[in-house]
This record gives sequence, C-alpha cells and structure tokens, in this order.
Amino acid sequence: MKDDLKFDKLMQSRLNNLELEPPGHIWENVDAAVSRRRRVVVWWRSAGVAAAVIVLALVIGQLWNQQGDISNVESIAQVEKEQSKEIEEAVSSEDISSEKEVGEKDAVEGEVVATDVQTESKQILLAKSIEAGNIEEKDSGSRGKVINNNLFDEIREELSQLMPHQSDPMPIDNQLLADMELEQARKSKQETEDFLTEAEKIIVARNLQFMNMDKKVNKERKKEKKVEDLQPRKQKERRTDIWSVGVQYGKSDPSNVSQGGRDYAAASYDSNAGSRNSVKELKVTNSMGVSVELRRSKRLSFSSGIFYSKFNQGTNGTTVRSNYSALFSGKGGLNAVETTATQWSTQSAWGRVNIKSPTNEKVQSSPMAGAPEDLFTANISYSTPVMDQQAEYLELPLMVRYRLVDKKVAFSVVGGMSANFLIGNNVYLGSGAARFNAGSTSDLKDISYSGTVGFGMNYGLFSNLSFNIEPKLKYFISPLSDNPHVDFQPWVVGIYAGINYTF
Amino acid sequence: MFGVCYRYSATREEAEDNLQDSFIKIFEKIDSYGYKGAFEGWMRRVVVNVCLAKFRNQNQALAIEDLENVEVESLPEDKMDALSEQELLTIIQELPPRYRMVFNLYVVEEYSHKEIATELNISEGTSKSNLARARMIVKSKVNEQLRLKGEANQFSA
Repeated sequence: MKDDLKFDKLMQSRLNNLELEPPGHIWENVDAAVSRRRRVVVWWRSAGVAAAVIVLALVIGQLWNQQGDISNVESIAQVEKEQSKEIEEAVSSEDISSEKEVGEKDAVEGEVVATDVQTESKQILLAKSIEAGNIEEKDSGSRGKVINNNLFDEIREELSQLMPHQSDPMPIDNQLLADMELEQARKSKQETEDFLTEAEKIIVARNLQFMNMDKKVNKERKKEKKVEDLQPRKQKERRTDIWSVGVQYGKSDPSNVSQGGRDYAAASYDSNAGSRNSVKELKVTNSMGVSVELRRSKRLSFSSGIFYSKFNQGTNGTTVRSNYSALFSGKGGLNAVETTATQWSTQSAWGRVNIKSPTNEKVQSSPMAGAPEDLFTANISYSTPVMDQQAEYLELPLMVRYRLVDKKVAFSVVGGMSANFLIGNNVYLGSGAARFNAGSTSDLKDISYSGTVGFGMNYGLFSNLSFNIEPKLKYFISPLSDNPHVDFQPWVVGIYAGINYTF
Repeated sequence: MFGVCYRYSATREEAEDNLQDSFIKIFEKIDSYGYKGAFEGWMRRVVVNVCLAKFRNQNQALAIEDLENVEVESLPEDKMDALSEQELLTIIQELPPRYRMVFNLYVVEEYSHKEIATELNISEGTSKSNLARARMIVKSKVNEQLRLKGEANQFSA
C-alpha cells in the first residue's frame, strides 16, 4: 500500500507536467473547425434573429389588423351614422322649403336613409357579434344559451330601434331562426364536442344572412344607381338637345360674271346704234333669314331655316330686238310706222331675256325693197342704256355644326346643302323715271342647289341669348341657268351675323 | 495539453484527435471560464473531460482483460529515472482503456474512486480494482523495460 502511494507519486511527478509538442496540423484543424463553427453559429444566430423579427412583425401586424378592423367597424358605423343624420336633416329641411318635391325626394331620400341605416345596423351587429364571440370564448359552457337568447333579443331590439319607419325593418327569416334554435336544443348535448359553439354558429348564420341581405341591398342599390345614372343622362340629353332660333343678316360678295355670259350677251348687237350688250359686275343684295337649330349633343347640332337672297345683273347698251318679221300697216308714209309687235328679246349673261312691251321706245324700221305696199318685213330693234336683271331666291338650308370650343365664346365649323327656289325673276329697262319692268330672264331655273361651308363664332350675351358671326362660302353646285351658252354657277362669300335664342 | 491527451489515448492519432476536440471545446466554452483558478487548470479539466467523453462513447463494451496471472514485481523508486517520460507514456498507453482511464484519473489527476466511478459510470470497487490492476501492469512493464536496460530484478512489487 505504501509502495503504491510512492509509485503513484513517482508516476504523477513524471507524467503530470509532461509537455509534448503537438503536430502543426492540429492547430490548422482547430482553426478551421472553430471558424466553420463560428460561421455556422453566426448564420444560425442571424437566421434566428431574422426569424424572430419576422415573427414579431407578423404578430404586431396581426394585432394591428385586429385593432384596425375593430376601429374601422366603429369608424364606419360612426361615419354612416353621421351621414344618415345629415341626410335626414337635409330631407327635413327640403320638406319645409318645398312641398311639391316632398313626394319624390322623400321616396329617394328615404331609401337612402334606409339603406344607410341597414348598413349601420349591420356594422353594429357585426361588432356585437365579435363582442359576443369574445364573451363566448371566455365563458364557454352553460352560459352559452343565455348569451344566445340575449343576443337574439339584442339583435331584434337593435333592428327595431334602427329602423323605426319600417314595419319590418329587415327581412329577418324567422323560420330560419326558429329552426336554428331547435337545432341548437337538439345538439346541446354535443355542444362541447363541436368546434364551434352553437352561439357561434348562430352568429355565423346571422352574419351569412346579413351578407345575403347585403347582396340584395347592393343589387337594389345598383338598380337604383342605374336608374339614377339613367335619369341624369336623360336630363343631360335634354340639356344638350337644345332648340334655338335666330335671325341672320348677311353681306355677300359674289364671284365674277358667269363663264361665257359676257360673250353670249355681247351677241346682241344693234347695227344702227352700233352698240352691244355690255355686262356689268354681278351683285348680290344682302341676304337675311331665320334659322332653327337643334343641338343634339355638346358639340353637334343641326340647323335649317329660310333665307332670302337676290342676285342683280346689270347690262349697259342693251339692244333689244324682235327676232321675227313683223307686219306693219303703213300710216302716214313708209317711215312712219307703229309697231304692233309684242315679242322682243335680248341676250344677257344669265341667258335669254324676254321683253314684254318696249312701247316706250322708238322703233326704227326700214322697208324692204320690192315689198308690197302694205306688207313688208322689218328687222326691228331698239337700244336702251341700262338693263337690270334680278333673280330672287328662297334658300332652304340643312346645315351641320360642330363646336370646336363650347364655352362662353364658342367656335364651330359649319357645312351643309341648300335648295334655292327661284321666287323672283324680273328684268328692268331704263333708269330713273323711265325704268320699267320689261320682262324676265327666261333661262333661269326654278330650283338650284348649293353647298356651304363656314366658320362660326358664338358669344353668349345672356343665358339664352347669344350673338353669332359666321363667314361662309356658298357655291352653286347646279347652274342657275339652263342656257347652254352660259355657265352660271357663282361663288358667294359672305359674312353673316345674327342673334340666337335658346329654349 | 497534448501530453495529457497522450496519456488518455491508446495511439498518437487518438491523442491528436482528442487534443483537437479539446481545443475546439475550449474555444466554444471559453465564456464559461469564470476566472476562478488557473486557466491552465481549467483547460486541463476540459481536455480530461473530452477524453472521458470519448472513452465513454467508444469503450463501454470493451471487456476487461483477465489479469489474474499477471506477475507483479517490485518496482524500485530510484530506478524509475532510467525510463524516459516517453517510455512511461508508452507503458500507460498500452494499458487497457479502462485501466488507463482509472490509472490516469486516480494517479495523475488525483480523482477519488467515487469521482472516477461517477465519470466512468462504474462502481467504486471496480475503480479500485481497475486501479490495482493498472498499477501491477505498469510496474510489470517498467520492470520489463528496466530489465531490457540491464536493470532487471531490481524492482519488486
């Protein structure tokens, strides 16, 4: 035993402080292992921190959403309550101010109030359901039935209070409630086995019923909205479907004489007087008329009306001659004859002009040599310094107007077609006191067609009265004359101004 | 610390593994060093614990050698210097694993048999028996080494 102790001491002294140098790769392995473990530790720590942050964020978000949902329900209910209160006040004020509109507006506003109250009641009931659900979670067990009954009573009471002006404020399915209560009694023994308590099931069923009612209400609202959408549209259409009448006065400047008209007129030549028909510039008297405009949309309108216009064509040195042989009865010598001829004519820029009775003009005649004493043929003609042709037209236009700018100062473009009816065709000879209506231009057509394009500016003077000024260009698509020797299709540029009254 | 690992290991490779694992453990657990006592002593305890843990994992099923017939000779103390530490370590390494563990824990680390029994999950009697047998083997091998060096029969048990 003593030797063992000595031996142990000896061995301990020899081995206890024994130091051996380890191989170098040990430290490399240790360093690599420690570094690897550190990276793993760092990774796990980072992952742990990240996971913790995510979990924390999710928890906070969930709690925040729950609080937000509850606060939203409360805030929505509060806002809708305020809105319904405002609507009711508005309805009541309108009741006082206007009795005529009471019937219509009450119907509309009443529906709005009813739907808002329904929404409010649903929000409150939802909040109550949540509250009841919380109570159920806390106090599950025998108190469930009591709370269920209290909840039904509260629901009925809330509905009756929230909808006092309806005999059946919300279409509660009483049969469904009765069935659910029976179902609750039947399953009361299995209440603890079910995941949801019967109270929770009833709450869920109630919410589903409200959701279905909400769908119905939404459908009704959509229908009402459609009707409301249609009504303003009709009103808007009525607002844009505007009739207006106006008067317009225009000053026009026609284009030059018709092509071929000068030559055709110059063919009338008096050899004795040595004069030819000399055509003057074409003139158009100022036109005027009334218009009717139908505004179909904000920018598009159609117009028509009746406009009067008159063309004037002057001819100097007009030679009027008879184009047939006349029978003269000699009285007082060969050179003193009286004509009995009544058919005379001349040529103008518009065509042939028939002269009815040149009685005021001296007739120059020359007997034909070798003719019988009481019968001779004479080429009879006379000259007059001025011939004035007038053609009066009644224009029936059909115009389309497009408004480029529709404001107080409106700008538009206008274009259309017109039928021009010849209502006056007169030829005057002479001037001054000697001027007389000698006939008409026989080649003018009774009806001709023209096209018009223009630009319009409209300035609103008052709510219904506006001033307009429109430069327009009119071109006769069909010639005014049937005479093949002339091409009478004048261009007419005019500036028209007028006033429109809108109904 | 490599010497400590050497004593608790059967081979140099095992000692190296133990040393590596020990230092990894030291780096991992360095925060648990409470500045109570010498740091070297704390490190030594870590190394010993690592060797013990490895022993428990690897040598539980090993059978104890039958050392009934081992002849134990007397071991003169003054002749021990004839053997180097490396030779003594080799003798320790050649002990059966549990004997080596009990011998190191009891003789070098000064564990009590109770502590050894707890660490190795054996009884105190087994620890005492294993220690006695380990001593006999070590003495026998020391005498053998001395005999080979011409100092034979100079030690008695």
